[in-house]
Amino acid sequence: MRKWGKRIPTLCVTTVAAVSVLAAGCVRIEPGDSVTSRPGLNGTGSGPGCGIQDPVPVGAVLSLTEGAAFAGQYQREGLELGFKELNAREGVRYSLIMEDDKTDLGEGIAAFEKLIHREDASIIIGPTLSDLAFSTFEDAQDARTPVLGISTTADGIPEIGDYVFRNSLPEEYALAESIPAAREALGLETVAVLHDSEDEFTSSAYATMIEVLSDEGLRVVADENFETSDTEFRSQLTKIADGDPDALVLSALPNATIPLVRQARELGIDAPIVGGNAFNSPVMIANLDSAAEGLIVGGAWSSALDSEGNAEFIDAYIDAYGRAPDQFAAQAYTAAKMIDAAVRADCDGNREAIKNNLAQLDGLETVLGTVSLDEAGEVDQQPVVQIVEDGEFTLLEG
Amino acid sequence: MSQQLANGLFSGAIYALFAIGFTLVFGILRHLNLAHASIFTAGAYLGIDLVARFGVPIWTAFPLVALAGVALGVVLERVAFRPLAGRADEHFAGLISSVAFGGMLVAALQARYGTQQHSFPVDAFPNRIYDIAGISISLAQVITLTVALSAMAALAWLVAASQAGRAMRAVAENPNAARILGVHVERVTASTYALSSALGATAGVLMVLNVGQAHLSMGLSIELTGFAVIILGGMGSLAGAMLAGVMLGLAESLTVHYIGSSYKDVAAFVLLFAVLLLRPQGLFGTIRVREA
Repeated sequence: MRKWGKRIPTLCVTTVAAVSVLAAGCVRIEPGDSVTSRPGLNGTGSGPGCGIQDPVPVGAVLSLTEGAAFAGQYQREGLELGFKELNAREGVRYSLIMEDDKTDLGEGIAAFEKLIHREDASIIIGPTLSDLAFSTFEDAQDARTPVLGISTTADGIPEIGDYVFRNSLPEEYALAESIPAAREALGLETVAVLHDSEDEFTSSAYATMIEVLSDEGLRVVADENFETSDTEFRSQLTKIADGDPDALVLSALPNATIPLVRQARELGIDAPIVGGNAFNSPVMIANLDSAAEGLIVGGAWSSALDSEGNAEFIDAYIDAYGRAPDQFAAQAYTAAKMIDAAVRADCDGNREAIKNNLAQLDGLETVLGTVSLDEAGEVDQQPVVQIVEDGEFTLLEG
Repeated sequence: MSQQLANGLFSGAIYALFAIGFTLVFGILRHLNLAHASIFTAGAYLGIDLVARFGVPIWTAFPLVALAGVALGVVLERVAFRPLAGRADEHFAGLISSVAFGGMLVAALQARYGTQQHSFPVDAFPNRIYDIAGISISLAQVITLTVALSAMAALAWLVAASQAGRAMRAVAENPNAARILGVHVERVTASTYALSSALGATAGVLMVLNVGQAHLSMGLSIELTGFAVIILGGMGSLAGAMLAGVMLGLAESLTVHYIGSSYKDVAAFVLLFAVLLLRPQGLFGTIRVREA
């Protein structure tokens, strides 16, 4: 007992010290806290004449491995190319800090934590998947760190807060454009619908798809679904074939599109297939060959788009990586240009300045076309509707 | 309806082909080899590489992929299972080390082939479509079913009637007794892994021909179904794996047709639970009584 009596003051001191350390540590992640403005990121001049002493730290959290790496790798390349071009210009340099979330929420949260609190990133790009964006964007919002989503298209993401932006055209906007375009160009009356019911992105698009189909007066003769990991779709496609639709409307992730289209064609479904962002890949056409004919793609970008710098972007990308870019790469590349515009607007690479200037981004000419961000942080751009004809994407004319 | 039955039969053949290699190792060695899905994926990528990059005809690629599967199986046994032999937690530790081996193999595939989907060149395989009484069947489906049935029959004969099979069964019953009787236990174990992995790798190529593409998570996609198949058929039973694969395929197709695609997996696993309730050892399994 006497022994414990001697130890009580020591225990008290230790406990108080531990609580103080914990409390001090907790202060950093209190909602509303912000990293102090760094003088080295405050420059002089503006626009092309802007000069900032320190490199602006830009974080990126992408799915470079595991399930969503099909998109994350293109995004990495698009970002690297974009910032490499920006760093070749005078005045502002960027240091890109890339983290792999391994397509996992826990890894994504840890990567955001590191970029916000240890790397003091001025802005974070990513993550690749909408499923990972909800939690990570809330953390960034609480820490007053701007984030720019480049493929997070699910409903409700910009509404997380005023530090949240995206340049990724939601699937529903693309479908809202491609379904009427297909109906008008091909005279559709009936459709079958097939969607991935397990994924946030495709489920969100499915809800819009049904609304648009109803608005357009198109009759749905079959409505089937599947799960993200499925590779065998013949059962659903057989039911669809029984309905004999004029077209098949599809909301799926890229991994599912090739098996789906091939199996549909094998079962004798020759109707046009209308899809969203997942179809927008040169790899898909190459792998599907003649089965790709008649695919109609609504998306944010096309290699055929006559937008500012698009042809140069494609050439530079092929030179750098030995393959053609896809939409994920184009959106990542555009993110670099948007951040540069926001930094140069006030010649300030700090978080608050970037956030304020992204919120006012209006009419920026990019490879995606003319891009603006509205007051909610949502992208405003004209979707592109394409059809595969003779093995190539061409713009679908009504 | 008849098309749905055909769909179920052929997707079941894929499940069965994957599960036959899986269950062979379990039936003989009592090891759950969780690297099987990665070897399945590796077989698919290697097959595509041989055809697309080296111009090897698809029919030649099959035996080459099977040989690569043999090599992978031998390495797997040597690095992930043999060092653990004789330990009290041999089976559990082997399960974990096979997960690690599988993870490393997929990481190596990613480093070599990247993360995007891969397919055979369009002209590499004449995937003819046959219309038989209104049922659409592809050549790839016919080959898959034939290979699955042949593999099951050949392995069943090998295990039941050949000299090698007798040695395998002796090792399965009691490795120490088998060793005393002159059976080279390590060689038999390595051969079992080699055979199982050759089948797994070949199944990967057939999967790509059936569905149209390979991707890094294709093994994981089928692994859970593979588990269900070997449990339903009876752990270690080759005929059980074949029958259970087809039953699961048919259950999925008929559920989509009659109930709805949302219930596809539910029906398959309800079938699994129902069989396990009525026959816990699975369709062809036997209740083993081990003596100390």
